[in-house]
This record gives sequence, structure tokens and C-alpha cells, in this order.
Amino acid sequence: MGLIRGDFELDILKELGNIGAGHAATSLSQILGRTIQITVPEVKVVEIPKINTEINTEKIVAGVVTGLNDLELGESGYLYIMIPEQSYRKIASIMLGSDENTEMMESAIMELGNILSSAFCNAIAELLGIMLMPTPPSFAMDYSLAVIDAIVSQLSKKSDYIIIFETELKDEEDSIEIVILLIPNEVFMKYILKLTDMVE
Amino acid sequence: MREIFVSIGDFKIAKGHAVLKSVGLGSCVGVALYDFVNKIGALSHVMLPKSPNGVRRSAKYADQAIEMMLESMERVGAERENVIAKIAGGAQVFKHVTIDNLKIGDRNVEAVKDQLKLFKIKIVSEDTGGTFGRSIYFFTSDGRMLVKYSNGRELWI
Repeated sequence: MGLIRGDFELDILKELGNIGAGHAATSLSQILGRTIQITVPEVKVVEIPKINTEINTEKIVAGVVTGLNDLELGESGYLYIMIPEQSYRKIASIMLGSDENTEMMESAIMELGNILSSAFCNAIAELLGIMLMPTPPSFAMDYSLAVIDAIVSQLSKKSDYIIIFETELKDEEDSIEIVILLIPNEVFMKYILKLTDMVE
Repeated sequence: MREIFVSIGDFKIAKGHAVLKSVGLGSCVGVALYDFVNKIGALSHVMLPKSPNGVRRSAKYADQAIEMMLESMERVGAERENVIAKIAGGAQVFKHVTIDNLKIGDRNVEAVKDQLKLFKIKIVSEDTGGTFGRSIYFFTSDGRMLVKYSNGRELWI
């Protein structure tokens, strides 16, 4: 498929994502004042038409999408922060003290998405010694697939597969659940090469 | 009733009593073609307006999907002059879009309409644009199409 050549590269992607998610979890924990756990991350290579077997496409989620902007190489992928409707209300009410004003809630979640993706980006960038900026967040409350179908469409121009790094952030009572998906494009491959060079 | 799932970038056809279903359309467009005489229907979930150089055969592109659907329908006995179309999708689900690439809903709808015009297929009804994602159910027994919005609203087109 050109993007990733083997399991070794997928493992490196998993490690990179894991570091990013770890930092995002720390930020989330600070914002909400709760202990946040991360589930074991997974990396999947998904044939685009089979995407509905990997994400629950008909579930309504609050989705925040940011692009990863490499100052040298351009866009290297997307971060999709997916918050199921129930967690969305819970998080917004912790941040705002109430869950009545929809506009305020959206804005709070967008800010949360901004903070989490910045934490994610910074961790990866520091490790690689690059400049990586997240684009301002785009927010939508919709079917989980409808939120990312424009991204999937873009990626499908170059490949029939997409790579998804997935991990979940949860609090101890399981009342908060945030799924972080990293969807790299071909530019991301260069980071993996860079990391391979570092270890060799 | 038989339910047939149409995944992103794909299309399916059915004859008689069946429901062709596609979920979570945001910027993508669902194109339903129907031969009302022979009761043969097809539904595609189009992702992109144009294939590279206009040559790559795949139902994910608007400029390829219509022809592929028509050919498949004809293979099971449909006749082109009976075929009509219904389309839904092409929304802009993001309220604040900061990534230009994400604004492809309108272009998808336009490309689908151009293709239908090229094949002289009449669009009898459509529900496109807007800011909500859709799931669609196309009944091949009579050509009805149900559009379910992500905000719970339902609409027959």
C-alpha cells in the first residue's frame, strides 16, 4: 500500500501514538481533576469500504477533528477525538458547571479537543525533534462516520486502505470515555523512518 | 424484508422486495437509481467527485459510479430509458471548518448531477446539502427512499 511496509512500522506508529495519547491523558486529567486511564492502543489497517466494521458508524458522537501540520513537510495526518453523546454532556458539565447552554458546551468541547490534540502533537514533535502544529479544531455532532467521511475521502484518493491508531481515555467510574484516533497520511511515514534511524 | 448494506465507496443492486441501506453520509452522496418498470434498484455511496484522470474504475468516484451502476442494472434486466434517480447527502457537518479539504459535500453533489445529466437520467427528488449527516434506506419494491438525519428527523423522498 506504500504507506506502511510491515509490522515493524506499525509497531513504531503504535509507540508514537501511545506517547501522544499519554500526554493527552495527562492534560485531560488536569482539566477534569480526575484520574484518567488509557486503554491498550491498537493499530489497524482498514480497507475503506470495511470501515463500518471498525467504528460504529451509526452512533452519534461529538467529534473534534484537527489536522497535523508539519512546518516542513505539510499535513501529515488527522486526529479525530470522538466523544460519545453521554460523555460529551458529562465532560461539558464538569468544565462549565452545567449542561444547558449548547453553544457553550460545543465551545468547551472544542477547546478540550484543542488542548488534547496540542498535547498529542507536542509529545510526538518533541520526540522527533520537529515542529508540529495542530490546525484549529473543527467540531461536529453527528454520525461517527459522517464526521470523518471527508477525511477518509481525501485519503482514499491515494490508497484503498487507511491506518488507524486507536486508544481510549477513561476515568475510573467509566462515566467519561474519549476515543482518540490518529489517521496518518503518507507524510507520517517519514516520521517513522526518522524514528527507525534513531534506534539503529 | 431483505436488507442490503452499502458501504462507503461501494454500490449494491437489488430486484424486487429489498432495502438498500447506507449509513453515516456526511460529505458523501447517496445515489439511488431505479427502473420503475422492472423494479430494479441500485444504491451507491459516492465519496469523491472525480477519479484521477477520469479513468480509474471505482464506485467511490461520482464520475464512475453512475455508469457502473447502470451496467450492473442492465445485466439483471433493467432498461436505461426507465431509470430515474434520487439523491441525498453532501452535507457540511462541521460548524467551523479550518481544513479546506473537508469542504467537498457540494462538489460531490454537483459531480453526481453532472453525471446523471450526461446519462440523461432524471432526478425525481433530492435532499442534499445542509449541516446534518444522513442515513438512507432505499426500497426497491417501489422506489421510496427514507432519509434519517443525525438529529432524529426523518424524511421520505
